[in-house]
Amino acid sequence: MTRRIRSKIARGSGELAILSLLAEQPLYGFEIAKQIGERTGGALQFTLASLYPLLYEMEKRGWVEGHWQTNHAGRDRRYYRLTAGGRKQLAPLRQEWRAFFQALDSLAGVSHA
Amino acid sequence: MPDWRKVVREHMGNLRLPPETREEVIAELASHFEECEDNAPHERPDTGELDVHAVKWRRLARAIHSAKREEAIMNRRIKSLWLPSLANLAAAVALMLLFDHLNFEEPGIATFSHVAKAFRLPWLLALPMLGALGALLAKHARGSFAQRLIAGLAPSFVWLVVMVTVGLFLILDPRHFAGVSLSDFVFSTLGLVVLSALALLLGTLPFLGDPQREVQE
Repeated sequence: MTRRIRSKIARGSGELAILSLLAEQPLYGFEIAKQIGERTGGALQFTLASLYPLLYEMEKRGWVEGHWQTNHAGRDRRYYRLTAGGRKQLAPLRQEWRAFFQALDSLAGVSHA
Repeated sequence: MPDWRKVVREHMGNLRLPPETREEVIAELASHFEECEDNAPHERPDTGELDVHAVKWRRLARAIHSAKREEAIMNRRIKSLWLPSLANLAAAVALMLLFDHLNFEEPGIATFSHVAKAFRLPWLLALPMLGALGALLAKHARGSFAQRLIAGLAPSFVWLVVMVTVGLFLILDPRHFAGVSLSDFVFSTLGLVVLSALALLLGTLPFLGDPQREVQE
């Protein structure tokens, strides 16, 4: 697999993970990375360098919207929330990934038990 | 606790973005380091996050610059709105000139006695295809509903602007439009703007459905 394809898969899965999380509640960058790490048992990990460019890209596309807000510890954090455009994007993205895994499963039997 | 904002600024100070945007990025990245530090003894998303030397700052700056720059938005808008609209407009004008040349009637302001001039029937019949062309190009470029609609109806918007301008001149200085009454003008506007919009809309409609929703369904 070329690096380009791998990077596209990583990027696509990152977009889906972020959109899915933000569909539940607005979160700031660190919380997004933390929750993705925790909820995937560490299988998906975001670093500073992978998270923020992706968030900014998604913000530019109008899928998420950032705004500064004070968190529970009284610190200003840039929270991201899903926009209507992002919400619309979520269902087809889920569908694409489902189809992708089904295709991979029928080829290589990679689905979980 | 280090002054994370200062640390980030040292590494990202040359980020080529408007100062306000750059400061916001620096503040956000600094806040990420603060959180990492607060959570460090127990948990953190990435074990190497607090080591500022481990961050590939130059690569990060490039990625953020690329994600934040407005050119990409402009390029996308050009592809999804302006190019389809211009293609539609150019085709509509070319067809109008062709039909006028082949036919039929001299272009100009119509009168009630020259119905064919106001309602260029062959041209109107061809317009749904052009509406479809504009909307299809916008759809291919992942244009939004509004962009597909505008691209499909682009020629009518241009005629509208032209006719409003002509109308203003007609009202302000009628001497330049000898023999043309306001009713003739309205009649022409109806043919050129309203009917053309309806014809274009006919072709545009099939491409207004939301492709994302189609997948969803």
